[in-house]
Amino acid sequence: MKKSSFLSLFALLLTVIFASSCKPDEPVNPNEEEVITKVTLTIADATTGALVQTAVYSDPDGAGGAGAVRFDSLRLDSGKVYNVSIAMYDESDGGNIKNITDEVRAESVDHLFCYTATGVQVTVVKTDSDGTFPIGITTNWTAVSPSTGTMRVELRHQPDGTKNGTCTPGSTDVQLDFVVIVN
Amino acid sequence: MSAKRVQWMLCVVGVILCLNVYAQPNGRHCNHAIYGVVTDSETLEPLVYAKVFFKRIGVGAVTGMNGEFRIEGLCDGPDTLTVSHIGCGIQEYRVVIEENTHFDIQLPHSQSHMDTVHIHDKHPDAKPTQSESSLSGKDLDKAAGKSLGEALKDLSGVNALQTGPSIFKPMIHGMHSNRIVIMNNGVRQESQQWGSEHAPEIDPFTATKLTVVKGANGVRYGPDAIAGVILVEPGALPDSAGVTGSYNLVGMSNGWLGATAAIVEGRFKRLMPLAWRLQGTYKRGGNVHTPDYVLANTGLKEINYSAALGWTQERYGVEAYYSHFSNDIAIFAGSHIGNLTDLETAIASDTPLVHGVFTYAIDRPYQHINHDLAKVKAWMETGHIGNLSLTAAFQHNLRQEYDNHRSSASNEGAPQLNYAISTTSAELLWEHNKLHGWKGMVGITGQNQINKYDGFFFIPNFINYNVGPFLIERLVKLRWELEAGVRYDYRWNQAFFWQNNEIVSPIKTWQNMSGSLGGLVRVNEHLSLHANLGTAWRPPTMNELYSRGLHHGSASYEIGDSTLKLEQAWNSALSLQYKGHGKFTGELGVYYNFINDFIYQEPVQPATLTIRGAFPTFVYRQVDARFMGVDAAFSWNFTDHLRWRGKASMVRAQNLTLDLPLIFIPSDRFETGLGYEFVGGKLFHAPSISLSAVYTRHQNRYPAGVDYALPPAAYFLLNAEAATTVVLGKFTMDLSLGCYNITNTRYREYMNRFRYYADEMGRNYSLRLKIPISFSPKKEN
Repeated sequence: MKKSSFLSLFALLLTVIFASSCKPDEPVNPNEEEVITKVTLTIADATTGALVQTAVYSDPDGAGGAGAVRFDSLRLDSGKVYNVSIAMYDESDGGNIKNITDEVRAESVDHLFCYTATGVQVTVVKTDSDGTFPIGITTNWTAVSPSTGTMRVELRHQPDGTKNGTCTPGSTDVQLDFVVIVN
Repeated sequence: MSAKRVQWMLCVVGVILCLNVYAQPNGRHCNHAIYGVVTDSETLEPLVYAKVFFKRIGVGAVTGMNGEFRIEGLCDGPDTLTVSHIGCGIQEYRVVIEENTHFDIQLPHSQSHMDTVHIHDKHPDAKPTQSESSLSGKDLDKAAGKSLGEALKDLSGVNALQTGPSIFKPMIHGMHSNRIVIMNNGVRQESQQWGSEHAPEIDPFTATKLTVVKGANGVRYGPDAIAGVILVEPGALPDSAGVTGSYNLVGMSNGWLGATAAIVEGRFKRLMPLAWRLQGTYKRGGNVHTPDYVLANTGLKEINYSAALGWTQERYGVEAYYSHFSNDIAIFAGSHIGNLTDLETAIASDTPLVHGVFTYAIDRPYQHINHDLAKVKAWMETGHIGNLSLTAAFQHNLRQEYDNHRSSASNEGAPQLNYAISTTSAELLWEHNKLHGWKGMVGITGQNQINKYDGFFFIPNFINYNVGPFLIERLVKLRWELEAGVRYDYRWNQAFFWQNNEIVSPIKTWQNMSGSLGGLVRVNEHLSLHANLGTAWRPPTMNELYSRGLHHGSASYEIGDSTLKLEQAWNSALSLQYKGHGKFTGELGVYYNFINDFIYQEPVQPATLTIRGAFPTFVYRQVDARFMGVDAAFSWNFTDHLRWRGKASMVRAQNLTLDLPLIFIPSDRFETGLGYEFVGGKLFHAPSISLSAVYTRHQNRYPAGVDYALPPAAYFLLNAEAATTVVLGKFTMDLSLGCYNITNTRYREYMNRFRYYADEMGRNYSLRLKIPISFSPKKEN
């Protein structure tokens, strides 16, 4: 093997390396990945069935980037009972809005919604079930007395049979503190 | 140099061909000495009672306990040096004696086969003047079944950044990831090494020697080698005919891990100068347990194989190598968290919130990794003065991380994070023998890299080019050596990612110099003093520049900074090495490293509020940092049977800009052990027992209020091992039985990222078998 042929081999190799045509210039748009960008609480009067309020949290570009564009407070009347249902959407792609609530309902044995009131006198009772444990998509809220505080709404993902009816197992998919005012 | 000290030189024909320009035609000098160590070329273990003999003048010596020999009173002139050992072949070297010479010999392990072989593929001993420690032979066998990062933890000054019981990332002097270069069989390992939970994709069973070179080493190995270099070296391909190999079987009680590995290699004798090697490993482990509970989802599965082929002629040769590494590592279920509240709940609980039972099943979350490496190396002698080599390599690394999150119809079965990185690299290197007293090398490396992601965005797609010429020269004298190196690197990269619904593609270029200056003084036959100064640098990595997103493993929101500058390290190290013949060997090293624009993560307020809750937020900042520390190790043979060993590592790292300790720095670690070797019998050769104690201090140096939990308490572990070689006629087998954490101590290690959630592994018994395989060369032909 001659030195010159050795060097030309090296030159050829470098050319191959540096003239690589495989360019990674079309990255996947991360927005195509499914995320929860919107949560709504639909609140109806339990006695009359009349819609009282639809409270919305919306962060269309997902976690990070711009913050939430809408985060409503809830206004309830003392002594009243409400039927509340939660819904979640992926609106990151305006042309293809997905209802995530349906997916959670389909995998209800792996999911649990938890509601924790802080400072506000509201009690929550889950009214649906996965067959063994509640899910928490539909709930009954009782506004006990005039007060102001927050209601923490959590979606716990509890896969592989870890769901036991409590909020402890699993990890958090949604965690929002809605401001609640009871008049 | 005094006039008496003549320029002496050794030439090994076909090995090291030197120019005889300094030969002195008249006046024979007969006061030269040759000294060195004879090792087994496969196991790299020192060979005791090897015979080293000069044929012509009839003078020789027999190696001592550490394989060392010394022959004095040699005259100028050519001779043939014969080296032999029971069970090994006879090697002959044609040598020309002209000076006192240090000459280490690796003897191939060919069973009772008396063939004269000339070694060609050997270069001037290019051992750096830097402090290094290595694992080979029996010490490496003891680590069989462990991952690379875990095996290296046995070396002083080396630690591991751990993620659960099976992900170990090597740390040198308190630094890891992109501040360490790993050379896998001569090729720079390129993968997603920026991630702290991304362990090196290398099977230690492919290596016969693992070496850690501590300190900046950017000149030879390129940018990033700020803390040091890890060399994973397979043994040389066989240079004598026949088929040999070994079979390893490892079993561990904790996690019921089983590993099996086999290696066979050979060389065709009359047919052609072709040598080959095949190697494969299979490893499977289930959920491991702490003293009190089983860690759910901590199993692993690994399949690796490699093949090598070498064609060697007198003056040139070609070698090809391919390796495949593939594993699935389950990530401890209790570590899966959705947000800061989940993390705090997990930390507040003494035991994990998820309880496990023993199983081999691997569930989400888990990592799936593939790494393929193909390499071709060609070399030729350039006249009498040197050796030119060209190495070209291609690597492909696929990393898929399967999260525990709600799967939807659209992404069912798909990984949440998916990175594929392809790297093509080439190195042209010319190593020269003594020219005007200097030995050295000059070379150039080129590299091209393409990264693509799928799934969630964490780091962007990118393309990367790097080119770097370098020069290292070394002056070797009997009493002292001096080494200096310089390198220039140019790097161009372009990232591609989405921003405000548009693809942006910023280009960045980096260039810088690396340099090193080292020297050693041999005070006497036993004692040497090594000093090194070096500078190395690294450009910011893609995650440091462009990451923007949730890092689920650590429940943090990470924001890159595209304005980061390059990081430059200035290292200095001193070490004192003592090599007593058979009695005492020891090394004491100190280092002081200053890093300019050290890139690190700093928490910022407020936390990022998302639909998932709050996440602590980290940005990348640059500060000036200082790393200093001490490494010490010794081994003392009280008698032929009793040996005492000890090791200590201490690191002190400081953020000089904020005058605070740096976070996640290993705490002080001390280890001591006693070993006793019995007089062997017919059946059991060299039976031995050893007991070791490891004490790891509490880390009391950390920045307040940054970490989620305080560093765990100090801990003390006891480990034991019994080993022997069983001989049944022609059949031999190395057998060892070990016990790790004898007392089943409950502890947590600061460097384990999962210390927030669970204790470390409890007691673990291990059984290791190694059976050498050998076929007669006659059957082969």
